[in-house]
Amino acid sequence: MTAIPPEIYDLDARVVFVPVRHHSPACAQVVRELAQAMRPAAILIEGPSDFNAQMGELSLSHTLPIAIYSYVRLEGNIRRGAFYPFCVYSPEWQAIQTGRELGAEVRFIDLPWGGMAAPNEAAHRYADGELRTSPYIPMLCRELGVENFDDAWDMIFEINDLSVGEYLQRGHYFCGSLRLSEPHIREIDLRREAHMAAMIRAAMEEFDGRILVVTGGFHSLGLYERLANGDCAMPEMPPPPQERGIALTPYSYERLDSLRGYESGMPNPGFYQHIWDSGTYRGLLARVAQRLREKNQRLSAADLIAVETSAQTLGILRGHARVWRRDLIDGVISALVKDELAFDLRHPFLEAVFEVFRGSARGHLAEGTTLPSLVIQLQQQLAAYGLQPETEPRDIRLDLAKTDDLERSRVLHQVRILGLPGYSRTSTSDITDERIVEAWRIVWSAEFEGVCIEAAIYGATLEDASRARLYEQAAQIEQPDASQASRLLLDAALMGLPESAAEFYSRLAALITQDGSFFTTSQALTNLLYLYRFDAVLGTMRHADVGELLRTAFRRSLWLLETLGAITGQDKALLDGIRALLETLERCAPVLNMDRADFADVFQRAASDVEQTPLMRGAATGILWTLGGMQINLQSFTQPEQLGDFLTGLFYLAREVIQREAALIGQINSTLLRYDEDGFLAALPSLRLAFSFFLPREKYYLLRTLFGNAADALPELEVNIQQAARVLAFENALFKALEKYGIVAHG
Amino acid sequence: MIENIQRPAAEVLYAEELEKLRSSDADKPRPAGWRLTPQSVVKFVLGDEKAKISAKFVGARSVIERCVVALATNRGLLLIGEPGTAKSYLSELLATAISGDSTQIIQGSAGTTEDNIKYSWNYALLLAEGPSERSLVPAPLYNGMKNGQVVRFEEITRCPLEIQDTLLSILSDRVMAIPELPGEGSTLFARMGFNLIATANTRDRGVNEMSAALKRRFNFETVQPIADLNQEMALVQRETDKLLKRAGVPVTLPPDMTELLVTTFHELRRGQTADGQAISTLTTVMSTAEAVSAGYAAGIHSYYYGTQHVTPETLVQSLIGSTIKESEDDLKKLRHYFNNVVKEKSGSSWKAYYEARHLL
Repeated sequence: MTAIPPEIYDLDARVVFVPVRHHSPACAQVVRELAQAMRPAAILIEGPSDFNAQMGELSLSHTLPIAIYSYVRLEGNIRRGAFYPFCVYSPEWQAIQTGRELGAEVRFIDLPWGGMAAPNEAAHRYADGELRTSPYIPMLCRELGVENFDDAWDMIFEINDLSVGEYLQRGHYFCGSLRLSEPHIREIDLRREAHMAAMIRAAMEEFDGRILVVTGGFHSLGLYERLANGDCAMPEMPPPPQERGIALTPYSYERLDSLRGYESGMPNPGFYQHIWDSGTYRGLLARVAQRLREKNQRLSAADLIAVETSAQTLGILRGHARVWRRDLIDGVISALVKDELAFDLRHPFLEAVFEVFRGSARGHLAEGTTLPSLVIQLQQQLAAYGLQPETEPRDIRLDLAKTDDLERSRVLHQVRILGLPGYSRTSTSDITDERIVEAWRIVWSAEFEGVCIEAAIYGATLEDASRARLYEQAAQIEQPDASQASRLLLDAALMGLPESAAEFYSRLAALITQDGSFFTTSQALTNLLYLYRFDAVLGTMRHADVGELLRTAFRRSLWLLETLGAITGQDKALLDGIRALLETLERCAPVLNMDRADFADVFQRAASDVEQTPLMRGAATGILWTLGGMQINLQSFTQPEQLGDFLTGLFYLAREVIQREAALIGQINSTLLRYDEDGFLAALPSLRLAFSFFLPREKYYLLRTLFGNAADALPELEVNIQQAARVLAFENALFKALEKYGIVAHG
Repeated sequence: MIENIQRPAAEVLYAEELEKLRSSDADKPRPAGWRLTPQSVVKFVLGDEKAKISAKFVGARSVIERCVVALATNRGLLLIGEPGTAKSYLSELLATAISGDSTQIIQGSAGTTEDNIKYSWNYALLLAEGPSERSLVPAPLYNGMKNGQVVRFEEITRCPLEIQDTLLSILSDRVMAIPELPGEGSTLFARMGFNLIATANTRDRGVNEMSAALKRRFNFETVQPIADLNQEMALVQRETDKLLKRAGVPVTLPPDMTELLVTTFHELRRGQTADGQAISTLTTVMSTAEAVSAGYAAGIHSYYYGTQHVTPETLVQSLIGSTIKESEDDLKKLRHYFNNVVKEKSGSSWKAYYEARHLL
């Protein structure tokens, strides 16, 4: 193929090809007009041909957007779902509806999803990766003086109201040129085109009348060539996968607009919807203004005039026949933004614009539609694993080292993330345990089914829906907070979504170094350590990546700790953070690529820093002690108000090592003996906290260290019943008094 | 003539291109007082391969379009951004393209007075003849209004607020009162084509203190650092070599050294390494202009004191000397960058760069 054959433009041919960009209102309008003029016997549309039997469901009175959702289970237990979303301005939707109005046969002609699903195949079937990534695009953008593909498309197709003939001229030329500049066409696309060509051929034989073929622009030329050359044999089909399903599901503009990369399609659905409905930008501007006022941003009539003037002038400068998408965005930037604009264009004014341009439409399936496949699939899955909710609460224990339990745990975590009521994890193992053992409680709840149907908006399988929900949570992290992101990463691992985890890795890596807080960064470290320790069990198989993240988080935490200064009031979080550092070093030294001596240096500095709090210095001393013995000198901490804090830090980090250290115990003892009564009372509360970290057995060791065998010989305290009763009565009276004066709440 | 001038103005340097654009769109409509059409102004700034117009400024097209539209709709334009993002250069290019003259400049500082902005008097003449147009000494704003030209106001936020606010009536009513002059001369009406491009950097004194009234009269445009590493490298290479040549130093910055230098600046500025790892940013400005000056310093240093070749050691030295001026904290972060990021990069020059970290 070297050129675009002129016959492809022929409007009077028996088979007319309309090259579309999915979700383009201009295309939708052309498809509608052309179909009405042509009155074809059949309209053939790029879409999953295994949905043809259910085509009637698309004529019910749904609230758009909705999507056809198709899923399969591939070899190796990989599930892959694909969606074909429809908005009112989708060319496919208009083709279906117009076809029905005209009484034409309407059919989807693409391969079923099962025939092309592969782990790296885009899940959004109406994306336009082929057009977007063409090497022809940068050249075209330079030529047109626009910044990207979307703007170029708007410029050529959307802004001017093209007649059907003009549209076909431009569309075939544009899409054909893109296709011809492609060095090679993917094998899967060739197979799909073979299938589509065979379906067109079959329709040509079946029907006498004319045929309208609506497909992505990239395929039009390929299909035309195949039919012209008689290359229309049905390709050999692999046997359909064992487990698969296809059904309608509600969809939302939010999801449509959040697709990125090779999954992305036309941006800003709210904008195009509005243009489809009313044809002018004015109402949009009013909505932006309203949204801004709702957000308490001041916006005067003069400001609005300025926005409109700017947008209009920008449109003229760019040669737009009417004010368009970028003009409005740039008009707002130009006229309203009165401070520095961040690189990613985050600004309250622009957020409002993007919100309006995204639109808030949420789809709703009409009565009589088959239940969303999420609901059916969820019921099946829960039943298969014996996890269905019952009115009697059930407690389930899962040992994740067992394959069955691991799978059940994944399902439960997916259900948890999706927010289905009645499922809660009551306990799980921590880092010191050998295995992960989880306890769950399952109970039926009245809202269960309703929430399930609503959740169908996130996806058609439990896995897809929970993944989408997870991404939604990720999008809500606003501050650079590494602990939240690490939480999501851990969730992704627990849910058994390795490929989603991959996305959080990079995100987390970025967040870790943006996060300026030691506390959240070290929490992230704790989560990562957990993941690193158990990722073999969880089956994430990303040991090297987690290691890499662990290393970054470790270094960053260490760095933040060093620049932290003397912090009070967050004692527990501080100690936990420091302990996470120590535990990471002890368990994962090889991946950290860090010298123990360098690590020790940091704490050496902290331990000898007189400006630091006794707690921090105690913790640092504890670390040094654990790392390899350091003479602990209580000299600097003999003041009653310091001793307890120092020991709290020390014991928290070096509990196990220190309990047998006779010299230290002796030092503490002699320091205490020197206190007078006031001093002792001042030291007591924090000392009590410090010693509370020891287990009873360890306290016993301490006593033995202090008193030798005499510890065993300590006289038994003899208490008779009357004494015990008096003590109890006194204690009760005491607590009542404390409660009365609001000192403690007696619980 | 041009050779003897340290830095010729853009209208002199690009006289040919300006003439080409002028003749090509001579019959097309344009805002009154403009020498070029708005489309040609954009072309002049961003370049156009077909029309053989050189690309002068690296930045998003939409930013330039918005700047041009602001000026075309008679709004003042305020360019803000980090130091060293070529705001002044952009304002020079815009003034050149629109008015053919980029030299009507007010330099804002703590000491800027109304005299520097509007007009003052030749006191000898004033005493001898009284106030008249002859004894009036025009300042840039006066000239711009009188001749219908774009006036540039550099670092506007460094001026005292009351001085900034003298622009209020001029920007809204486009009129300057000269009460000393009798009769018609007491009011100077701005001719078509007059407008104001101000710049302000976000580091030392931002735009937050600027009065709301004045803000309203400006359209703000943020000039971002160059986003594309390769474009930035090409720019730094070109500018550094140009400076070295002008200084009579027969040394050029070898491409692998440019890569070290620009990558360091780029990554530290964005707070993100090329492979997506996040790092802490410095408080020091790490702009493209600073990269050029560090490259220039390294070239000078190696010519006069070194081996005639720019080595990774000289780069590290000039990095400290010309950029990390005083902040101990930044030095710590830079060390962190070397120990964690530079260490991991492959290639012999990166290794040598890492070895030179002892100089930090």
